[in-house]
Amino acid sequence: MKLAKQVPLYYYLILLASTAIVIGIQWDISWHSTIGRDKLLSPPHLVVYIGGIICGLICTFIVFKNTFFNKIKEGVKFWGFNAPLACWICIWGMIAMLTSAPFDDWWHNAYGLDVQIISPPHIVLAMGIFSVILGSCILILTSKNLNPTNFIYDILYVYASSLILVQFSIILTEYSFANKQHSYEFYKVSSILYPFVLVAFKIPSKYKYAATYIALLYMIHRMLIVWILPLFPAEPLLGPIYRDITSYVAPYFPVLLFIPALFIDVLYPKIESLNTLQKSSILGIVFCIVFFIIQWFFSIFLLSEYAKNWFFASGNNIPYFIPQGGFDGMFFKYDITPYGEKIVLGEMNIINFFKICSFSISSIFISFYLSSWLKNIKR
Amino acid sequence: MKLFLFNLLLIFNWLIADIGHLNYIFEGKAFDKPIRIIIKTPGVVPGLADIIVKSFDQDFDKILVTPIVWKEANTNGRNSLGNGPQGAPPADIMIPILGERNTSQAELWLMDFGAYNIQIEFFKNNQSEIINIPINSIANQITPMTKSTSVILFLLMVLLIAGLSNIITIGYRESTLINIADLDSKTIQKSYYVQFLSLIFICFVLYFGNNWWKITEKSFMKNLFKPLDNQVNIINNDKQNILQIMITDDAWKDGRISDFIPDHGKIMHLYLLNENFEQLCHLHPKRSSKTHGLFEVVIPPIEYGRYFIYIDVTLESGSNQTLKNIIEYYPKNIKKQQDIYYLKIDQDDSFIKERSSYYFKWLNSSKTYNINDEINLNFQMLDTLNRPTIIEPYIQMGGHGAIVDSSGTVFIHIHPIGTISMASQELYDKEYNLQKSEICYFGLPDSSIKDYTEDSFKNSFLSFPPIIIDNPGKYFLWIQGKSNNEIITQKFEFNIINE
Repeated sequence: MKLAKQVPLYYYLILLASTAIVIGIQWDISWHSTIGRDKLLSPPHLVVYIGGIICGLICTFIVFKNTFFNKIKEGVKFWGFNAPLACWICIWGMIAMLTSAPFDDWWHNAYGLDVQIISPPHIVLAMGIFSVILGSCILILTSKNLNPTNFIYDILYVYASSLILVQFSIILTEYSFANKQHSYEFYKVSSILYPFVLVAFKIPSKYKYAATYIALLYMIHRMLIVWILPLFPAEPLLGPIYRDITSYVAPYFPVLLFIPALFIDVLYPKIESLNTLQKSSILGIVFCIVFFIIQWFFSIFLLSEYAKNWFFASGNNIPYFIPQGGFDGMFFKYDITPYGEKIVLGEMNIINFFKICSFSISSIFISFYLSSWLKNIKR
Repeated sequence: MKLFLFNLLLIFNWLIADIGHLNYIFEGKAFDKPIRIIIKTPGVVPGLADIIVKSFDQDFDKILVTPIVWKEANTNGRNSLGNGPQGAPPADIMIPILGERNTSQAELWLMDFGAYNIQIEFFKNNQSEIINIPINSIANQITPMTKSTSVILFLLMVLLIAGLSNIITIGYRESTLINIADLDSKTIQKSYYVQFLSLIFICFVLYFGNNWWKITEKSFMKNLFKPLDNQVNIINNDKQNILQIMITDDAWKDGRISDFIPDHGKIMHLYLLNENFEQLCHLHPKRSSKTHGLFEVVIPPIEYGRYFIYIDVTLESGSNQTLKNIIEYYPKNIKKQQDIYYLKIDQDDSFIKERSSYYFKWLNSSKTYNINDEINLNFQMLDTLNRPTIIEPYIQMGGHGAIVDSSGTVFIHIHPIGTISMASQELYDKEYNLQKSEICYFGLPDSSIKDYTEDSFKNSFLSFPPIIIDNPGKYFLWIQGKSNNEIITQKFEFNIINE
């Protein structure tokens, strides 16, 4: 309790605001899939923007406190001001988030409303959100590095890292529906992003099973969203309506990341003394093998009748605007872009498996450099 | 220049039923009193349409509005569950506009491409009446960024680039130091390289983002509305010069796009307009009995020259289009084909004649209008001695109108009930009545034979709903009506300015 009180209150507040941002994004995607009708100040948008602004304002407060009131300057110098680097990352994220609003508004008028999640203004927003959450995480990490005896910082750091993982999983939404989990594209993007986050944020933690904790917290977060959102009644307010929807549509069930994360945690102490390329190669290959086997069979289960329940939410995670057809419960062979173009999805074969291994190795290789910087960050 | 703009329009295919004009206007009756409905479509999909209802003589307890998608069953492999009223969202209540008498407004999202029925339900004294307004939901433009938005976004981009580069630099230079005094000149020197590299990295990201944006825009452009491909020819059978229109669009020929249905009694309404805007023919091609996709019409006795062609058609799907083409109407381009049978001239075909017994007077007209002005279109038919004369129905209407701008980029076909396709409206009316009566309807819609002359004109007067034109320029208006069996086509001119 004493240790918890040593942590400044605004650290909890900034984590709460970051959590609100991540929940807000998932609510917004569900809102688009369920209700459809969108406006700048819709409730999910408000949650996201208020979360971003709270984080940004807390950091602005730290900037002023550090620049004008603290005699010992604990931060880095930025255009004459002084504050921890994390605050600048958060403030940058807030500005990026606010920039995305008029950009997205124009985009809707020019190209139509949110025809796809991954669009240039959404990427600006995602970069902003990522920066805000990353900044929050690094703010805690900086204090953790300066106060190694206070384990509260360690717990908060692992939680903040899991929010980063949740955000990456949201970005991968369009690739990660169970119907696409036999495609090369799903394994390609997953093998790049997930091991990058797990390895980069595991190493600065003092916990042996940090990657597993991060992955578990990510899964719990996602599963709570999967279970809670459908409890609230909602109906589509835009047509054409192809499905009978009476409550919020759930997100896709999270990928079972805790298993490959556990392999990383168990393996890492054994290979820690190897050089970076060797470590990256071993972790990358193991991640790909485990992740591929787990998700290949788990996705078959998710598409089966056994998963059509509140727990896995299969059948309850399809938006109102998707026509009912013969592909329900099937693996997709191709994708159709919002502009009607047909894109054939790649198949998983030995060559493509080697490709995803090489992506994973490269990604983990870079993450080691990030992790060594994170581990040493002091201001 | 006109030809260039016309061809530019053909290349970009920014064509819809009416061209360069996204507003649909309907004038009719609810509870036996006149109402006017204006629908401004967004020009993108999904997009927000603006619906305005004006009632002139009465208040309603409530007005509900519902967008209903209309597609042929199993189009593009989609099931039909989302089509028609069963796939429609709950109705919106229209909100009265403050300060405006008996005027209500609503905004509706049009989420899908194709034909939509905007169903408006009026409530009064515990009774309700429905009016169906057919519109097309299409993407036909990319709205440019306003100057102020461009400037704001550019400045924010510069701030973000500079900020990011600086964060990376100081992150390298200072973030891992316990004591800032430990910062040595070597690290400072290296940090400049880091800053340089970070800027290169950001430029690379921007370049990649810009390319991605271009690809997205290219995909979007493919979805811009494209009217049916067609070819035109002129042939002569020794007695008549015949204009042939061949629909060459593969999707239409394969049946992926539905066939035409007659709109107020005609399968096609074709306007032939010479490049000097001096001659206008309103013709009605008929389908050839030999070739399904061939439509033919006799060219009236007009002068040779270059002519713009605008063809209005309504599809079984409920959508309507304006097809466009050009003919070089000169003797050298007329092919002799003596085996072509003699074509019966449609009695409703009309053109500007040198001598007419009657003329139209535009009441309360102005030479110049602003872009937001309502242009009143009230006319009176007079004889050569300026005496009012009684107007007769002409193609089931009191009259017809066409508005074209001097560049040929705006074309509006207007009737006393507005700019909507009457055939589409009847299609939706029929569907609504069948839904209400729960009778299953298997047949194809029949031709539009409703008489729209009721109350649209009185004695010598002819009225169209007022129109608002957004594009500044010089405009030509042709009004057509009939009296004593003579069809009169009268040309007017006006300017639209932006002040």
